Amino acid sequence: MRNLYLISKEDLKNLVKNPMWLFYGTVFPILLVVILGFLGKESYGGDVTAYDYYGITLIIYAILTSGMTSANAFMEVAIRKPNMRIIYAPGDAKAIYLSKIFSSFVFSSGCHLFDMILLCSIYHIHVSAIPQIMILFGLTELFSVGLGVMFCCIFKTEAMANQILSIVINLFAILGGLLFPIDGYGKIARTISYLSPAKWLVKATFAMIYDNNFRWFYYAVIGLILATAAVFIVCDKTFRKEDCIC
Amino acid sequence: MMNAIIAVNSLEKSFGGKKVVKEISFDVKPGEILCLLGPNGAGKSTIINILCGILGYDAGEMSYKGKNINACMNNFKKHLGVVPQDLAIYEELSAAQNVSFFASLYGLKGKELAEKVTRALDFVGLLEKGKDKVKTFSGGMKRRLNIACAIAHEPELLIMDEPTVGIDPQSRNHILNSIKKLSQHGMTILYTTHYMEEVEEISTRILIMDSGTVIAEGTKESLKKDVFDERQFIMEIEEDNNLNIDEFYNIEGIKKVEKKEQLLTITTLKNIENLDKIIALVITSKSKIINLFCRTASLENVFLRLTGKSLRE
Repeated sequence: MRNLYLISKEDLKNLVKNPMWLFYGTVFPILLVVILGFLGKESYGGDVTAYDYYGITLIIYAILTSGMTSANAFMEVAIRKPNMRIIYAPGDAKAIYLSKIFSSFVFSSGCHLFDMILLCSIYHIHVSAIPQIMILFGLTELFSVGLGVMFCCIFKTEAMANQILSIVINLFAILGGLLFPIDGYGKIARTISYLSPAKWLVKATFAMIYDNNFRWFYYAVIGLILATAAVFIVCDKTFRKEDCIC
Repeated sequence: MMNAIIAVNSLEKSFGGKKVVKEISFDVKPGEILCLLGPNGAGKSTIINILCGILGYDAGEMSYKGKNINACMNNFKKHLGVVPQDLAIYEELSAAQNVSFFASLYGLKGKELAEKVTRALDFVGLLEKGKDKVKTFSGGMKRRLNIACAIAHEPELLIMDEPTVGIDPQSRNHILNSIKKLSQHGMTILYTTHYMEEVEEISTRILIMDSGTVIAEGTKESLKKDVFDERQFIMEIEEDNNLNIDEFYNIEGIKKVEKKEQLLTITTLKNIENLDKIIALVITSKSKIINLFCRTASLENVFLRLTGKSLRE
């Protein structure tokens, strides 16, 4: 456990010191909200503004892309080589991938929390049921970073993991209406959109904020817990120490 | 075998149906510098990765102080330092932060950790550079830091996998001297390389490997003696067409005589003093000796003799 803490701490330091990931975690989601919010402001009414919509959906999108941060933290060349020395040290080898999940979770959660506070302060984004939203987003963050590490365990390289992850996340985002509402495209599009976990997250969040309805929240939480457990199990089954040898 | 730190018995490992380690057996005795010498692909790194528990194996046994390694892997790792072939260090951290982080994984903390970090950096000659970021270091300095990270927790056994690859001669000398010093301090070292000169300089015992098998084992002196009981005299001559090669075979100990243009190569038994007779025969045939040198047994020759190929082929 001590080694897991030490490695996670070191990994977190590495992430915080990486300007690209800091930009990707903090500035990029804000830019997305500002640009899409501005472009779409005429399409939304007075009660629910474009910023209300994109302030939620694009943060969910940013959270889903956290897997790319964890994939990088796990298998980027500069990190992968020191990982090799960690493997030689005493202790459970699982600490290698668990530390990447924990450090990426803390890093990404911090970045996205900062984004949410900033966006809510600037654009007065309508938010309620804050504890539930924190739980929902926190679980999504854990699932996403776990997914990034899981893809690395399966595909063995960061490049391959990120390529596939990027396709999967963007597909989820488009189907889930994170970049633009998809419900207006007819019944078939609406039905298909439920295949995306992003749709469930958006629906759960907006239902809590605007309808005070928590039914979708419970579904989403149960789904996320099961999905995260599955991700951890797959990581455990597919992680091989020899993959850390460069 | 009883007093060995590590004993490996009939170890086998295959990758995709191809055997890369074939029934290898050896032991590592306390305080020695055991060199695994062999060309790339001989199976040296695979053996090390198996020993460190990173790779599994198909057959055989490995023990640490008489106990099955797999049964006491955590305890074994606590007493093990590994210098991998690649630089396993964080470029963005300082030298001291690197050593401190990796040493802390072995349970060191507080004052003891700080002292051992200082000692390790001092040992590799990087104490003054301790606060500098690794990315500002030269290749040789990074190699030395790679060693410091492996020895800070003062392991009983240090495994070094080709630690001098791609560095300047000055840094290489520094590293080889450091290894000798570590050995003098009682550390047991398992060292893999394909550089003969390094093995000649530091080894107390050698395992020569090729294609996944150990083809010879012993001290450098015994290997040369066992495998190479001959020496070669190579003469550059200016001849008068009177030189009869067959006459050399009348001299005691001569095994083979070859002549290519002006170069006369005479292979003779090592323990028979016959150089005076060889020279006399050349002179009486009215040939002039322009140059003469003696090729004695080297590990390079031993390897060539054992495998029929050069180490760097």
